Parts: sequence; C-alpha cells; structure tokens
Amino acid sequence: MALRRDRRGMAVLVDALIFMVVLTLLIAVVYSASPKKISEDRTEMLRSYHSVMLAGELPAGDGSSMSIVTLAEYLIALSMTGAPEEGQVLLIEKMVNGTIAELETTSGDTWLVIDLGSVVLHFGSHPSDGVGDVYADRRELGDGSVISTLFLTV
Amino acid sequence: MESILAVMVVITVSSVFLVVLASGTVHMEEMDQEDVISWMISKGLYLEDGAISLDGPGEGPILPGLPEDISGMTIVYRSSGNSTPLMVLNQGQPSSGNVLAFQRPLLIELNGSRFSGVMEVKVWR
Repeated sequence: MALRRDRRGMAVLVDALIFMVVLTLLIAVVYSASPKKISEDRTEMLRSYHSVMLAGELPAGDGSSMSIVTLAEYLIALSMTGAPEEGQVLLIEKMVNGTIAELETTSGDTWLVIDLGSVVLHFGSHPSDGVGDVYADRRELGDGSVISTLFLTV
Repeated sequence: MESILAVMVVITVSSVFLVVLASGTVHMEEMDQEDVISWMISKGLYLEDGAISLDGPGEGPILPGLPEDISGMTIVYRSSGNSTPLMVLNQGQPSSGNVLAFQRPLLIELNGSRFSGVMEVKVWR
C-alpha cells in the first residue's frame, strides 16, 4: 500500500518537473524572439547608421565651395539657398549611397527622404506596398528647416 | 499532503533554477557583444562619437592583446556599401567553434577626409 502511494507520488513529481521544463523552454524561446526587442534593435541600428551618414564629410573638391563640412551642415546650407542644382544632388547621392547599399545588403529595403523645405529628395528604392514592417529614423537638422528620414523595411 | 508539499517545493526550486538558466542563455550573446564593444572602446579600436583614423601604415589602430576569455579576434574596417577592406586586424588562434560576429557603423578618417564606414568584428573563445 505504502509502495503504491510512493510510486504515485513519484509520478506526480516527474509530471510536474516535465511540465516546468517545457514551460521554461517555451518562455525562453518566446523571450528570445521578442518582437519588441527586435524592433528596438532595428531602430537603434537605423539610428546609428543615420548618425554616421550625416556626420560624414564632403569629399574634398567635390562641388562645394565651402571648407570641410559634414553632410548635415551641407544640407542646412542648401536649404538656405533654395532648390539645389543637379551637381549638388549628385554629391548628396554619392554621400548617402554607401549607407543605403550597406543596409540593403544586411537588413532590407532602405530609402532616404531629405526635405530641404523647397524640395524633397528621394534616394534608394521604395519597396512595393504591403511589404512587412517599416522602421524610420527622423532627424530635424539646424532649426528644423531640413528633415532627413531614413527608412528600412524588413 | 506530504507529496503535494514536496511537489510544490520541487516546482518552485526547479522553476527558479530553469528560468535563471534560460535567461542566461538568451542574454549570453548580447552580453558578450557589449563586453567586446566596451573593450574595443577602451583600446581605441572603436569610437561611438568620433572617427577611427586609418591614415597610413602605423597610423591606424592596432590590436593590443585580446579581451578576457577570448582566444581570437578579427576586425575589418571598410567604407559603407563597399566590401573591400581598408584595414584588417587579426590576433589569436584560428577559430575552432562558435564565432560571435557583428558589425557597427562608424566614421573612418582617411587622407584627411571623414566618411561613413563599417566595422566588422568576429570573436571566438
């Protein structure tokens, strides 16, 4: 009688342990693939690429009469002079293409929209509609007259 | 009654133990990456707000040893969107197991100009 009760007790114990192991593994799997964390990581990645891109300096002797300036400073200066010329747009394109190509290769479709006030410039390829989540990092430069937004869709 | 209490105790202990174990496993990679980044910042191999200068031989960063518990490391600096390395730093034994690999954007200074680049890091124990 006592032996039977012990066996029943052990069976309950083993059942409880198996239940806990399965539950814990389930929690670990769900936590590791947490959409919130993935979203935060992608937002942070986009922010850091955008920061570095805007801090890049214009190549020497490449269309700008100014001394060494960053892309952000160049965009602010352009916003004060009205619509940019074709050569100036090409220079901006040359400076942002590397970052867009990098993100295209490693993460997903990437495009950049720069609002200079008088004109809005688009770089990179827009994905077709209905393609997953879109992440964006938006920066207001200077007094807010220039807005640079880097988009990523995965 | 005794067996119910025993089951409750075992459930409590095992759940605490397994949750701690699972959390550690989940966070291991992230913690390692942040540790490596902190070490690289302390050695001047990576700057969050600044540029890594690659101006000429001997002017670029050097790999002064390895972080604790790491047996090998490779760092590649290159410009964004271009797979050609500007500088490669290697140290330690060849990898023989799991490799932690990640990349970070950073400013690179070369020939007096700063441009957007990428640092690719691989470390292994």
